Amino acid sequence: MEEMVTIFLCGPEPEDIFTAVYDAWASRLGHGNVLLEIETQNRQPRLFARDRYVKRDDQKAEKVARSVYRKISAEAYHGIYQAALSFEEDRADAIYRFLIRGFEVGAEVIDRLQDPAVCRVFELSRRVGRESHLFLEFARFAQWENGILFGRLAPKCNVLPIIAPHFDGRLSGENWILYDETRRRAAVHPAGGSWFLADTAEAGWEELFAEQEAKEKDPLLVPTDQEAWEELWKGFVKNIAIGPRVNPALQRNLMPLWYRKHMTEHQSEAIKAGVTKI
Amino acid sequence: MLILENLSLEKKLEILSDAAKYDAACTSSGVDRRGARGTIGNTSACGICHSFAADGRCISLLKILMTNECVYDCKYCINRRSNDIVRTAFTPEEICTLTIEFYRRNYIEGLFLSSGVAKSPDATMERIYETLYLLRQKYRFRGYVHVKGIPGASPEWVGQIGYLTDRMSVNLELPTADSLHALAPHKTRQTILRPIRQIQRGMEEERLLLSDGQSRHALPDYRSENRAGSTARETESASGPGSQPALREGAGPLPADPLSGSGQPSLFARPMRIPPPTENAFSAGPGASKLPPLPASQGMRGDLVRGERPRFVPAGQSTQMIIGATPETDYQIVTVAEALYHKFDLRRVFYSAYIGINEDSALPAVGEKPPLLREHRLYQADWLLRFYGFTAGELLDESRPNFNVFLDPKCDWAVRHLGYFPVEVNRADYAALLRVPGIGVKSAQRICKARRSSALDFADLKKMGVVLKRAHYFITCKGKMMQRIRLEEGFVTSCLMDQNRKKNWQLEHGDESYQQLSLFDDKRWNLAPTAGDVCESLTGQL
Repeated sequence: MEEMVTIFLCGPEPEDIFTAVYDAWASRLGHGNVLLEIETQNRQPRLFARDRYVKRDDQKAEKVARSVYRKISAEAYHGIYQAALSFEEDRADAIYRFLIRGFEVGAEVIDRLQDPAVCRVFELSRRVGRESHLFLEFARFAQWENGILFGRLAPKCNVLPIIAPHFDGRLSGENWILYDETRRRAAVHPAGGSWFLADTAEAGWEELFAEQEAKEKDPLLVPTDQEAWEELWKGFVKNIAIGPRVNPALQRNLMPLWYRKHMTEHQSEAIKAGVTKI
Repeated sequence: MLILENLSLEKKLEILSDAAKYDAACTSSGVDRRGARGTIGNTSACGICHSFAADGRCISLLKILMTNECVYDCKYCINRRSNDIVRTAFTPEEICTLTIEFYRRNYIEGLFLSSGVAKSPDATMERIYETLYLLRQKYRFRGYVHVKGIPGASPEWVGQIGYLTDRMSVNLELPTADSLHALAPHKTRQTILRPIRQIQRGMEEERLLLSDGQSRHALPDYRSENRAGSTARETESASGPGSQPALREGAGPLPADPLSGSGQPSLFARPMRIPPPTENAFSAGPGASKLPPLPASQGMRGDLVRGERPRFVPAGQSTQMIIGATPETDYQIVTVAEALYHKFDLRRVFYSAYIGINEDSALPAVGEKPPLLREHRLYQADWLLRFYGFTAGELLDESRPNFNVFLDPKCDWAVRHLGYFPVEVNRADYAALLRVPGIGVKSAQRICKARRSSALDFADLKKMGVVLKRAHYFITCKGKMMQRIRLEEGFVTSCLMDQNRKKNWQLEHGDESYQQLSLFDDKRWNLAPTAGDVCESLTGQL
């Protein structure tokens, strides 16, 4: 009988995945006998496989990152890091297979798209790159009374680590929060300081966000500046379209509906009902 | 002309964005500038769109007019003097606040400021200068700014504004001088081309200065007359009349360069200083502000960080032509575009399908469909000129002056030149790959890199992003074609046309669902998802 496959189960973050890569490699079970999987609630257990849980270890993850940088290339590291931010469940194993080929051939691995292992990481990374670019475009901030800019996102990929540096440079003098409601995390940026990621599942963060947003929408309160700017913006978006050229299919192609969930200009009730149903 | 100054900001934005929307350009690309402490904003060379309007055009910049008052009477323009419409104007402060507040909320990437010609081109440019100065200096805005150059503006203003903006564009409006004369009686080819040439030279001189290895301190400080004078001496040798390639006279539809050989001094050759702000260009409204005096050390732009040098139009210039209002052929238009790219170093030429707004005997009727497919074909050809190594003469000629309605220009070229094909993917050079329909710049680059390690097959090409649907008629992998194909013009054309028919029909008739009568017309400008969309998203296909 063939040797039993060992499944390395790890968490969803890049650090978890890189730790799993380290452990799987160091286990010396042979590349063909290991599989990397992300631990999820509805994971199907496999027959003839032994699970091994990986505990996140930042030092191991850093070692993996460093050797990819040194022995393959910065470009390859960028590729696997972006791939690790994907939502696809096979991302951990895809990165492992990519690295086997990478340590074998070096920097040129990134060009070998005819190799399925390389191609998969390329696809994952491209998907994350595209989505994060779209969230640079479609993220919207609303200003609270205390001056904090708050942006709510519902991304599929884990885009915060990619988009937060962009806003860090752009709005360096502002207090802002970008909240990823899918992963319940927020990038927080104090004015003049540097941004950090915060877990919002505890300590009443989410209650605070919801409370502030409810205040914005409360019809009994005096309209704020924020609402006035929102109205101006909605009017502008509506106005700038040229009647004889209207083309909703093209618009949806360039700005798919699911991205519009938290966009200011698509918060009219009809649109919102349609999207939240999804 | 009645100018309403005291409208609400909301109403002004409505009027002045509505009047600006016919401008095609809304790009924020071409320059990378990092953010800096104490300022707001950065720019990204790839450009960032922030939304897409119902017509599918991107909204990247706050596209507005300074004022829709205009002394010109261009027949195609909504703001022409003879139209009876509400006229209003923004104050510089209003524009700055709008820009900053929209920018902070990530609605926009910057400002696109255009204007009707109020009083005179120079008075308008002065008002634009005042606004940009305020935006850069007081609001310390470091994001993207695109400004329209007003035809006929004096070189001083173009030179000054060039240091405050990222991109400047002067609209060519119509492809030939005759059409321009017929439709825009107040504009001439010369007044349009002069600022274009000036901007080009300004950018070239800046490049020369940089490549000379001069330290940044030797670069002109445009507020001081003495120093500008000394720089002029330094650059004179490089920018003498002989160093500019003169336009071929009468060769193309473009007239001769209005500046070449005229011995006119270049941008830097005349001592420059900021002309003292005269009385408010429009009217002395309450928001009218004078330029504040600047401490000399601070330079012109408050958004710049220490040691950073102001750059002249760093994102280059663009222009736009109206398509379909005048009888020019596609060949003429493409030739003009090619000349603009080669001789004037433009970044982009935009084509804008004519939309009938004004009743005029010299124009197509109001309500006629804009020629969207033609515009699309011109953009396709434009890309072929800029990124694929094609020339205008290859795509069209005097005997075939218009693009094929059924085939895109690249396919059209390929079926007429079947002698070049099939191309062997594993051996052909980059230029040959680029000419294959269905292979773009990215896939050609990927192919060239990937085939170093092993030979490629059709399945690999598909994964790399090659559109095999079109490409497979023109390529072989390891010596074999994907299917048995008769490599003959008639056969390949009919195969390709069959695929494109649906797409072209949609382009021509894309808005028809919008115009259908409905019992329950609830004026939603945005389509709600259909039941089909909801189902698809539930099954994860969206």
